[in-house]
Amino acid sequence: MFYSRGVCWSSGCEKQGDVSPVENHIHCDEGQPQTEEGSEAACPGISIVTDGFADSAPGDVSGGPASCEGEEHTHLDSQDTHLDSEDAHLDSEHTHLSAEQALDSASGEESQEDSGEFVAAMLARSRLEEQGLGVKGGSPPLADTGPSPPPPGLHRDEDVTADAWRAHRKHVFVLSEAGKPIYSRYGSEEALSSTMGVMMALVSFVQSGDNTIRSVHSDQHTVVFMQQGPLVLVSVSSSGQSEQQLRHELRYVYNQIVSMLTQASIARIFQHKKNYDLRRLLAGSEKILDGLLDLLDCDPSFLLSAVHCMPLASSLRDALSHVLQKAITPNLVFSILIAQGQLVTIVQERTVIEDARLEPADLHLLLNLIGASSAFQAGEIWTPICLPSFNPDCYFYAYISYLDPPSCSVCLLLLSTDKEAFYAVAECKRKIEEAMLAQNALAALAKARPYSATQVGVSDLRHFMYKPFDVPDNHRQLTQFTSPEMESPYSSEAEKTRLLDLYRDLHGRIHSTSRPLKLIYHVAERETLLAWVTSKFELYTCFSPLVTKASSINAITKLLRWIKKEEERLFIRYPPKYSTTPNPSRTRKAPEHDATDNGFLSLL
Amino acid sequence: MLCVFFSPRMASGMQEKQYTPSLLSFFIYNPKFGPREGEEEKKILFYHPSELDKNEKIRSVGLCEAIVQFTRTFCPTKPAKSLHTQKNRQIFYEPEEHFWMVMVVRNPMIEKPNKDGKPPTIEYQEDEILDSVYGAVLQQCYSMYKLFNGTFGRAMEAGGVEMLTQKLEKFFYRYLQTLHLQSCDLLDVFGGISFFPLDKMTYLKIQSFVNRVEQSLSLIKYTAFLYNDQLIWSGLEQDDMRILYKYLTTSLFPRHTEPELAGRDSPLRPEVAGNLLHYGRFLTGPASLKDPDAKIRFPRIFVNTEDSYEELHLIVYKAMSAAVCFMISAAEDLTREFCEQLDSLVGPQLTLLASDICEQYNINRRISGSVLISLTLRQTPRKCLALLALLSSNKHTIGAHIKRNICYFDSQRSQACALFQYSIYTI
Repeated sequence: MFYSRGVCWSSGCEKQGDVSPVENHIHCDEGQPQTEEGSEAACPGISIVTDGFADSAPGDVSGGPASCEGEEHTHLDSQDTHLDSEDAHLDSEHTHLSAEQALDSASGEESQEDSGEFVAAMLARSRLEEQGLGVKGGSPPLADTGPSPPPPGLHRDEDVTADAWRAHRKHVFVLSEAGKPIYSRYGSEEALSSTMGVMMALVSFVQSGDNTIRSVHSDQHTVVFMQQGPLVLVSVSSSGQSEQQLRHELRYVYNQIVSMLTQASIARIFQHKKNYDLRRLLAGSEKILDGLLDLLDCDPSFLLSAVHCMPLASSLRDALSHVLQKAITPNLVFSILIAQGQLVTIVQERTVIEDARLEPADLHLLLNLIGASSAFQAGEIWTPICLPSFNPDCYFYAYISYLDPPSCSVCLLLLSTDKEAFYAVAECKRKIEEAMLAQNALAALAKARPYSATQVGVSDLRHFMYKPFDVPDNHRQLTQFTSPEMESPYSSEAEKTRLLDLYRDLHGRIHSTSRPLKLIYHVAERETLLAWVTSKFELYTCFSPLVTKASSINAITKLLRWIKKEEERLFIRYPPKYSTTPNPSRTRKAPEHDATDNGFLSLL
Repeated sequence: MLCVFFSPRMASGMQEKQYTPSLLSFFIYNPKFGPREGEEEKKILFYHPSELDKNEKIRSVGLCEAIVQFTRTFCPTKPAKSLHTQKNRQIFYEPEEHFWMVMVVRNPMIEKPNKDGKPPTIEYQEDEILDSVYGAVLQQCYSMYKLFNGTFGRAMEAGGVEMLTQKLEKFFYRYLQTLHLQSCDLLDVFGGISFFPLDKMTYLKIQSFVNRVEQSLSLIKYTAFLYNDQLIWSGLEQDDMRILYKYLTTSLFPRHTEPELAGRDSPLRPEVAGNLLHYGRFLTGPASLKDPDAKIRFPRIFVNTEDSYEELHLIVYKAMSAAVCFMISAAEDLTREFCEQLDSLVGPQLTLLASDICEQYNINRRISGSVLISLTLRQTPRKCLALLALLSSNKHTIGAHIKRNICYFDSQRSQACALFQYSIYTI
C-alpha cells in the first residue's frame, strides 16, 4: 500500500503563490508535488472526503498522487502493488466544496490553510484505515468495486430512540452556538439534531437571563454544559462522577478539537458564518474523539492530569534519552518516545521554549491521536497539530512513526515548528532508529513490563496510584504518576471500571471546590480505600476489605518508602533538553553541555 | 466506616459582604392544564412572588418543562431534579403525576468592593448549596401541605382547579414565610424524629396510659405521645408521624410555650388557675371549654394518603412538658361534651405522668459531650453514604463517626432502608 511508505502532507502553495487556500497532498516523492499542485490549482477549494453526510456532491477526481515510485523504505516495498487501485479509490471519494463554501470556511489566512491541511490529513488517515482493513485481510481492493460508502462508525448508526442508546454510560455532544450538531459519541448527529437543538435552546435561554447554565441533575444522570468560544459541549453521564470531573473531561474533548483546528480558526470560522457546519472540517476525525472518550473512561491519567510513564531501568531510559538528544534538526522542539501507549522518555528543545514545558494534557492528546488511529502503524505521518495548553492558536508539525513494525508498540513522535521540515525530521528518525538498533534498545523496550502491586511487598495492598508534585528544585517537571498493573480481582473490565469509579469518587471528594478533603478512609463493599493528598503527593490506595485503619496507614508508609527507592525506575526524573539553534557548530556541542546541566550525566 | 478530616475555611475579608442563600421564587404547575399556545398561564397553579409579570412566570415554567423533557430523552422514568446555574439553583419535584413543584434558590454570594468607584464584583458560591438539602426542604413543603390539605388530586376532584389554587394560595402564602433557607442543613435531609430516652417502667406507664385512654374514648383512632418536644409513642405510620412531628415541634409548640414560662400562678393562665386538679389544656381546638360560645373546631389532617386516605381531627393536649395528640376520624362530630370528657379523663393522669417522667429523666440524665440521635431513614444505602458525606461537610460539624451501620432491605416497601446510629461532635 502506498501509505505504508509514508504519507506526507505538505503544502507547496506558498511557493507557487497559489490562490487555493488549502492544499493537501498525499505524495511520496519529491518530484511529484509540483505537477499535482498544478492540477489542483485549477479548482480552488478544500478537498473534503464526505463521510456520507456532508452536503457536497461527489465531485471531480483530482489532487491525488499520481504515482508513488521511489520507495526508500525497503521493508515496505512488498505492499507497493496495491498502490494504484488504492489511489483511484481515494480520488473517487474526493469531493470539492464549491468556491463559495471554501470562502466561507477558509478566508485565505495562513492558519486556515493549516486547518484544512490537517483535516485532509485526518481524512486520508481514516480513509486509509478503512482501506487498510480490506487489503490486510486479502480481500480485493475496494477500488475494484467502485467507490463504496465508508463503513459506518461503531456507534454512528445507532437508533437514538432505543433503550440501548439511553443506556450508554456517558454521552458527549458537541454543537455550535447556532445549534448545529458537530459531534455525538453515540448515534448520528442528524438523528440527534433536535436533541442538540434543545440543548442549545437551554443554554441560550439561561443566557438571556444574564446567567449561565452549569448542569442538570437527575437520579440517574448528570448533564454538564460547557461553553467554549463558539462551541457548546454537553456531557450526559450516569457514571456518578462529579460535575467538576465531567467538566474536566469536556475540556479534553474541546482541546482535542482545538488540536485539529486551533482555537483562532474555530473562532474565525464562526465569526464569518454563524451556522457553519464544522463537521465539514472534522469529518473523519470522529474516531479520534471516540478514542479520547474511551480513554477518558478507562485511563486514570486524565483524572490525575498526569502522565503515566513506563517503568524502566534508569540506565536504559537515559540511554534512550541520549539517542533522542543526538538526533536533532533545526526547529525540532520535542522528541517523544512511546512504548505500549506509555511514555518512555521526552526530550525538549531548551531555547525555543525556555520556561515552558509540555503539559500532561497536551501529551494525553498526542497519545490519544496515536492510539486512535491504526493508520499510523503504516509508515511515516507528517501532520500539523496544535497543543492547546501550550498555545491554542498555533500549529506544531508532528512526525509520527513506529519503530518496530509490524508489532507497532514503540512509537516515535517528533514535533517541529517548521512546516517544511518533514525530510529533515525523517532523517532524525533514521538516526534514532540506527542508534537504537545499535544498542538493541527495541528488544529491551519489548521486555519492559508494568509492575505488580505485590512487588511492593505489602500484603493487603491491591493497587495504588501515586502522583508526586513538582520536586522542590527549580526544574519544572512533567507531572507524572505511577501505578501498578490492575491484577486479580481487578482483571476483568467490569472490575477495573468499578475500581476506577471508586477512585473517581474519592478524587471527586478530595478535590471538591467547596468542601475539599485531605484524607479519606473508605470501607467499600469489596475493598478498603485510602486516599491522601499532601503538599508533596497525591495517593490513592486500594486494600483488601479486612484491613484495619492502623495497618493501612502502616502499609502506606512502607509503600512510600518503596516508591522512594524505585523512583529512578518509575519516573522520568530530569527530562533532558537539547538545543537546535541553526548554528551547526553550536548544535553539536549543546546537547553535551545541557546534559551536564541537567545532572543527566551524573545519573548515568 | 468513613472518617473524614477537612481543612478549616479561610475567614472572609474585612469589607466583603456575604449573602446567604435566599428564595427567589417558588411555583407549582401542571403542564397538562394549558397545552395550547396562548394558554400557558393556565398551567401555573401557584407562583411566588405573585406580583411577577405574567410573561416572566410563563417563561420560568417553560424552562422547567424543557429541562424535564430534555432529561426524559435519556431516562424517561427519572427526570431532572435540579438545575444548576451560575446565579441560582432550581429544585424540581413531582409529588403527584404531572404536578411539579419548583423552588429557585439564589446561590450565596460574596460582594467584593472595587477601588476607583467601580461597581462591586459579585462572586457566586455555586457549590455551597446542596441539592439534597433543598430537595428535602421542597419535599417537606409538599408533605406539610398534604398533611393539612390532602393531595392535589383530591382537591381537583372535589372542586376543580379553582379549589386547588385557593388551597395552595392559602397554605403557601404563610408557609413560605416560615422557610429559613439560610439555616437549612443536614437535619432537614433526615427529617428525623428525636426520641425521648426513657427507662422501661416509665415507658410502660405511658403505654398503659395510651391504651386506657383509647379504651375509654373509642372514637380515638391514633395517639402520639411526646415529652419535651421528643417522641415517646406513636400509633401513626412513620412517614405521617415525621411530618406531624415537624409541625408540632417547629410550629405548634413554639406558639404555646409562653403561658407555661409565665409560671403556674401567673394571671396569664386563668383557665389553669381555675382548675386545681391538673395542668392539662388543649393546644388545638377551643381556647377555653368554659366559654359556651366558643366553637368546637379542630384542625383537620390527612394521613395514609397512599392507601386508605384518612381525614382526621387533630387534638393536641398538653400538661406541663408532656403532650398527647389524639386523632379522630373527621366523619365524627366532636362535641363540647366529648372535649370535657377528654379533659377530665386525660388531664389529671397526664399531669401525674409528666411529673413521673420528669423525675425519671433527672435520675437517668447523663451529661454527655455529644449528641446521639437514632434515626430510621427510608433511603437507599447509596443515599445514606451521600448523607454521611454531607454530615461531614456540615459547617458545624468537625468530625463524624458512625457507630453502627446496619443496612437492611424492607421488602414491604421494596425500598432499601438503613438504620444509622451515629454521633455528631459539634463545635
